[in-house]
Amino acid sequence: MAGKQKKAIVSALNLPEDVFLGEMLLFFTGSTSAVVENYRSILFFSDGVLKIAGKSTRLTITGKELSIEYYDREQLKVTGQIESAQFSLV
Amino acid sequence: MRELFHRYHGYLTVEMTGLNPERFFNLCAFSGLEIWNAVCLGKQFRFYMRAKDFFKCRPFAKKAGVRLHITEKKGLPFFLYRNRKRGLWGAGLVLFFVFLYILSLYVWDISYEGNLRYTDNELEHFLAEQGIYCGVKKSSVSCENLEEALREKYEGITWVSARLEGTRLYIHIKENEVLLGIPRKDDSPCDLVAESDAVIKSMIVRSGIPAVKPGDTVKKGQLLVSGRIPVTDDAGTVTSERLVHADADITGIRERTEIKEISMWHRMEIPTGKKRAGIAAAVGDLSFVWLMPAGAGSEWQTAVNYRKLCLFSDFYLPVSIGIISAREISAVDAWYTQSELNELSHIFQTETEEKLIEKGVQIIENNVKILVNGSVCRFEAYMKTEESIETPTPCENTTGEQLENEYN
Repeated sequence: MAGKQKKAIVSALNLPEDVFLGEMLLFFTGSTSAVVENYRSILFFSDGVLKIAGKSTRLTITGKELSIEYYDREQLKVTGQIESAQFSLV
Repeated sequence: MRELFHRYHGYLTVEMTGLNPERFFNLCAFSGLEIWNAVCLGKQFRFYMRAKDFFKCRPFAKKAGVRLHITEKKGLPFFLYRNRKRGLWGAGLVLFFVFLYILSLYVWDISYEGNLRYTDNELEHFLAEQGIYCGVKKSSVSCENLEEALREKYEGITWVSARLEGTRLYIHIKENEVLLGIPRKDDSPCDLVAESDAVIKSMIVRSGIPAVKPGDTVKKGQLLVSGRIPVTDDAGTVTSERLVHADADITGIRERTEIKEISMWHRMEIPTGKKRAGIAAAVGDLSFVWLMPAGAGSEWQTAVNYRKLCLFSDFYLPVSIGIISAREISAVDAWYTQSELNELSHIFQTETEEKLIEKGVQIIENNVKILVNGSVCRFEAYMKTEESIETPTPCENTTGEQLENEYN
């Protein structure tokens, strides 16, 4: 309930949701690279799948020859032949 | 930039196997340890990390239950460690750059641009007088003073720019293309006399009294236009003479003879086909030549094409490298054949005509005779030309004469 209220306030005040709600931000460059911001941790990493945990969602990136070009506490860049990106609730 | 930073500090290629690699990645990220280019190779992972972070991540590896294996060490610290016994090599590298830096403090080449009236050698000589030559320190060259000195020395230079780029001094000159001053008109009293024997073709007299007319045959030194104008009284008696500067355009047809003698024997250098090549290097007054040795008694013609060494566009070095090309010749004394003599006479005729045309002479006829007398060949060119034949001679000032602009 408190989460819904917070979301309504942020939406009403037109505030950035990634900052106030801690949502993940995704930037794609074609299908060869993607930058993920506001992630929590890496859940699974293999040649074809990368699973990342966010505050309230889980992101699954599938593709071929995936590699993590760099990552730190704030952001992660994945490169390779990205086929899909799927969100699911925790 | 990031790659350079990593290479400067040194980095490792690490292969990881174990139970929970994702946990290891997360622990490293939360601790601020940098990991990049992580890829999954079946059951193991390969990634790069900074050398100094490797020891910090060992507790995380233990916690995540993974094993780390270093496969490669890259970057400056590892390079220096590997080459720690090659101190002289490093010292040589440092000395090389120090030497280059010292060379860059001097002028090693001077280039001139835009000079037509004043030759490169003339300007070079002047610069040497000013203390500017190849090998002088750049700090002692004042471009402003040099520009001023050039403008003061040479009146024909209207604009000059001197600039130093690299080890080269550029001097760009613009010369005055119009006359520097109006030539002073000669008003001294004079007559016009014939320069040579000729037949007068045309006369235009502007000042003085003509002594001949078109169609007359004149001898060398004969008076053509007199600068003495008689002054008569009312009875027509000449009382005095007024001296003027005689001025006229007189063309005449005259004959010219040009002679050239050559020996019938001449040295012929026939190439045998053998060639040699070599390299020459010059540093200041010193030069080194490396040329393949020649056989004894053979005669060779050599030519060297020097070129100043240049590292970059304007970084000239005090070293000139030359390519030597030599060809063997067989020298014999030969007698000119008739066809060769004809060719030489044609060359002589053409050269003579060109010289006269440059002087404004029109050639009406030109015949060359080849006369062979023993071992001497004589070319005689007989020409009929149309040209200006007058030449001024000063008038003698005698008693009773009156100069121009003098009034009674």
